[in-house]
Amino acid sequence: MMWLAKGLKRGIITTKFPKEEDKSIPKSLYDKDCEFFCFNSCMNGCEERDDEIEVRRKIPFNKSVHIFVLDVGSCSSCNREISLLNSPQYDMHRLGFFFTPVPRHADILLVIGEPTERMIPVLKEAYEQMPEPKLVMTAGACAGEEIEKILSVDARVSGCPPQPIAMLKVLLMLTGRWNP
Amino acid sequence: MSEEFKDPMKINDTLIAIIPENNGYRFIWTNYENGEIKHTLWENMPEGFYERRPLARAFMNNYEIEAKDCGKVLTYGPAAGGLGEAGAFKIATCGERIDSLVPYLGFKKREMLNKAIGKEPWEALPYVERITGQFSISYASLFYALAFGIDCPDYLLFAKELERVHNHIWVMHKLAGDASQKVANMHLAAITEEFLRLNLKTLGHRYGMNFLRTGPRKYEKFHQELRELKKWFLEIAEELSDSRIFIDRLQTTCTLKKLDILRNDVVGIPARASGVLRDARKIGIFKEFYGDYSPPIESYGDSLSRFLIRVKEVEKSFEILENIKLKECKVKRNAKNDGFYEGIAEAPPGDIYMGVKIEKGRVREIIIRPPSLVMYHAFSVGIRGNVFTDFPFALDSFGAYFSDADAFGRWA
Repeated sequence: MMWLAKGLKRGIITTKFPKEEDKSIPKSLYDKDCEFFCFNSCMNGCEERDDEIEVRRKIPFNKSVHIFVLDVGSCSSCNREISLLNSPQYDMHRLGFFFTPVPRHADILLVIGEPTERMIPVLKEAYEQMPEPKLVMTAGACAGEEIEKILSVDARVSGCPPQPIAMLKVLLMLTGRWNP
Repeated sequence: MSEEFKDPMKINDTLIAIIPENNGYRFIWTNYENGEIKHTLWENMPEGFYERRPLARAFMNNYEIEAKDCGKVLTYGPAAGGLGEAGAFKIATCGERIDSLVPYLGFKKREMLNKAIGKEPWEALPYVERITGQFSISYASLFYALAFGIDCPDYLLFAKELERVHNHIWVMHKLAGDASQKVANMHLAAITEEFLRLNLKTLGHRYGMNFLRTGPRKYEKFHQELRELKKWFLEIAEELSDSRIFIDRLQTTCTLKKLDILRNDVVGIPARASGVLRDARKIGIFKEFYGDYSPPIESYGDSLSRFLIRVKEVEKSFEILENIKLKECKVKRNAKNDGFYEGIAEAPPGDIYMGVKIEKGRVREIIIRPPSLVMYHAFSVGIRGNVFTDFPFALDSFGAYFSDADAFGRWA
């Protein structure tokens, strides 16, 4: 009960996005020469930037959308950022997005990491197990060109790792629920 | 680096790693009394060595598992939603009881460190930072200290403690979720997110991956935000420590006795939770940073003890962070002369060993013994005899990552 009371006292901390842009979320620092698939490593000086987004195909699902996250070789920071989509600051459930532990219930395959040899067959099988219609999204600098060689990718987000807010934007765009 | 030809059965120090070589094996040891690191060579794996030093199985990827009586061996992972990472376990079970469990590693054997080889140390740094994102600062600061020397000590300590805090709170978040304490679970997730934003404002990256290149960033509200987060965290930790449901789920789960720790060369939080003081902050490369720091110790060795150690460590880290007065500081970028440099440093769950060979100004070899490899081994020892519902409480109490465990070895 005390936790609930303290939570209420703290007030709403969930971002108002997508109703309005949330300026309280600090932007990522990128290397000035950074392209889509590079690390934001600041080797050549840094600049503040939003994580970049590219959406190639959309499916306007008229239902809750289930996401199967497949790590094929990440450093585990993308995993944490994805988990944080459930945190009170982002609360993706309010927007109709849910994680599923099995690809057979998934509408979106969210791939992270640079694929290791042993995870490539797992990635292919996970994709095959998904019902139609389905979308593939990659997140982070590692899940770049190598994934595109294996699957047709519908959306991608840069960053190392991409921030949860950037991933939320991609999910909303993929499902036709928000347009920048 | 001193090395001698000696039978590993006759050595009593803590085993850090075994690296296969052309004509045998290199055994790396440390002494947790004085911090001395020793290398010994031996032509084979002596008979009975796996029984004497069971952690050797982790280094040699030589785990064996057999089902007993009514039992079966099942593989859990590498894409199972519950694990959240590309890794797996082989589990021998008869009914609900876990008779035996071994880590099934190798799904995340990434090429990240191969990309660091042949580069100048400064250019290799971004790849070292990405061995495991959660411990990025620990890896980067150790690599930096070995290849360049220790520079901007206050800033290194500041970054290391920020990393410790967000990692420990994340582990607590997972444990609260496992125990269906969803309100606490969400509070801790929210604190983690606020901490990662604080990292970005002060270190230049949510996980500190740029921290040596960007240097300390001025953020006027740091102390104010830190105080608020500390208050928030302490309230939740206190409530959680009073929750009977939470305590019941963690108490006596995945217990490691003192003898288990010593026999299995376990280090870090599980060792200290069982009353064995093994902590690189006392003997490692950054020991000067911590002075007379006394790491929190518990004695029962169960998941609850590991949780309590984390709560106390977060409190201590908050104290350190509150008292650091950061000055502007740019780390030097000229690496040490050619040679082999090695050391141990503390990451949030346990100790990292790293060796770096520099030849003609370029990184030629990196040896890594990540803490998660030891954590998964410790988990496999403690979980025996527990039931399936204990699995998440046990696993999450170690705070290990497969990406970390699979970084083990010599990269050249």
